[in-house]
Amino acid sequence: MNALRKYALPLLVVLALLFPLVVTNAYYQRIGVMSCIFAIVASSLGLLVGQVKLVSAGHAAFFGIGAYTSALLTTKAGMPFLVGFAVAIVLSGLVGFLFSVPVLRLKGHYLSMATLAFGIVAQMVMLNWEGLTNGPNGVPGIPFASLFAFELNTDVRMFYFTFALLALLLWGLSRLYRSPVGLTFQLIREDAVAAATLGVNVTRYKVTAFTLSAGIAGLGGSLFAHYMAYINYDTFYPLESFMLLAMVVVGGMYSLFGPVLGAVLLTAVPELLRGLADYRMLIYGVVLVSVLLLRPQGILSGRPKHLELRPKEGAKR
Amino acid sequence: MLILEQWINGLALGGVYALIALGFTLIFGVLKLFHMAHGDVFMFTGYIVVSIVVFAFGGLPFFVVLLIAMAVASLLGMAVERVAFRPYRQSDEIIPLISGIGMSLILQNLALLIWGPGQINYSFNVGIGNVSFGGIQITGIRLVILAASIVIVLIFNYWLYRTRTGRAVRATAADPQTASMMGIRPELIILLTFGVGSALAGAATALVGALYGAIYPALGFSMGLKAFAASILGGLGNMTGAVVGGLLLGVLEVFTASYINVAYQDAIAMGIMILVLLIRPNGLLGKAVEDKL
Repeated sequence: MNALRKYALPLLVVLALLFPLVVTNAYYQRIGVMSCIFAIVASSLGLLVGQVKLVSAGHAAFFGIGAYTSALLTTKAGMPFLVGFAVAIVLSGLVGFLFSVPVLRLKGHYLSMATLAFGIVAQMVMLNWEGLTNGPNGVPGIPFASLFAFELNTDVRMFYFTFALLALLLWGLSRLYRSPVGLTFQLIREDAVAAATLGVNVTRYKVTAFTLSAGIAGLGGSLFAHYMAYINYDTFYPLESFMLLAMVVVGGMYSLFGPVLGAVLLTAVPELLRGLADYRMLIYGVVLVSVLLLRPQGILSGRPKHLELRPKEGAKR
Repeated sequence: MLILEQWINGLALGGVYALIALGFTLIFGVLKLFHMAHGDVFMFTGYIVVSIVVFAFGGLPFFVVLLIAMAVASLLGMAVERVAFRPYRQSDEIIPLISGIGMSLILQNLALLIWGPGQINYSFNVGIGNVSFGGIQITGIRLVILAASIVIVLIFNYWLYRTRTGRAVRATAADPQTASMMGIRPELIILLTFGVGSALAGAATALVGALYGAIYPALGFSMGLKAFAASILGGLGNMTGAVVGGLLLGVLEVFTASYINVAYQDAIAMGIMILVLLIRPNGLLGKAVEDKL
């Protein structure tokens, strides 16, 4: 078991790096790229849900803000990809910050409702602010991502790029989760009152997590826009937020790799079951309900055992 | 005189919202849980009622349709409770929220598969024509809706505040542990709560059906959102609040549609929800709860 743990990660990385070389089918490569992009976005939500226990039911809004920012800057303003990419991260992070400051006073379900409403309003803006977003027509002709003169114009290049970003993100998150800041996040998750009595400024930590998470979701959005070459409001529907939540929970919200696994599973499996296209969303629903039933902690648990023994908050009632 | 007509239209729409919100807030009150699939129970019931009642036995009196809808919704609601919420009593509060979302996806997509993505049109005969007095015209349907919502809310109130069962429900909501020491079986009460709460949504299904005569799979999600907004506006877990919130939302929507812009009608609910959450999270009638942090 230990040997497995030790070699699992390098093995997975090697497999992923070999993937576009072995699998030359463009369709499968495409699924690979989408998996990486959604793994990034799901990881951003995992930071929020798993570490600080802030359940955002409107995370597709930040994904969408990133996508639109990057798309509009490159098509309408003619900026290079890297500028759009950077601004997308900063702007969605900023919106996340501005939204979180008043809203994080809310707790639990109330917070989820507020984020859900925010997600719906954000989509309404994308649909109705025609002067900026082209309304229902969406933004066509988004250029390929490029690193200065090097165009990421093939699925293989895009795969390596998104995979590198995902790896970088996971490395950063793993550092964060073990840092004092990360430990404080987990303390807030387990018991916000205890954290406050220890002198932790709970609101500030929550705002930090939310801003960071929104920024990373925006990063994913930018990648998505430049890979798809076309976006419209329809992609950033509230349903998409639920899908992201599903990825996080199914994979295991407390684990670093949980959201990644969830994103890969929920992106790839429905695509591979193409024949069941009509049942796709139904499968999502069934998976959500049943995985929780079989493994409430998600497939990868990642929550220290001694914390599970503590009576849960619901237990008192 | 137009104003008076719009008030009645708004109150009729609001009565429907109030019924859905009442069920939602009741379930929240007892389980402290957001029933994310509540709107979808509403929608799915609509489909079942339409296929059973309208197409199989056309011409049933509206009162019977209403009762059938309440019974169907009640059963469906209890089934949803068993599958999506029962297993997670002791879990973290996130888990039932997410399994509720899963249930919502299941119901929506089952409806999509069974009845197709398009809108189904039908009509219930409520048996009352248009009424006019003093120069104003009111469609009979709206009067029926208004009257039915009032009667149902009154019966519900009587049940919750005047009967032994109602008292058991309130006791469970206040403190399940102590309630069970008094011989109340919380699990049974929770099941009953879902039955009654969903029956209210079922009544709303029949009334909305009589009003619009159309159903489609996404209807549940939007109705559910409006019920969330209405109950948050009134104060979650507060029965009077849900009714007041529902009526207010209905009136606001009708007035927005006629005086500002029809396009904004659906944005109102979301706007209200965000505003209330920011300014007064406990709602108009909600008591301030002690704040831990």
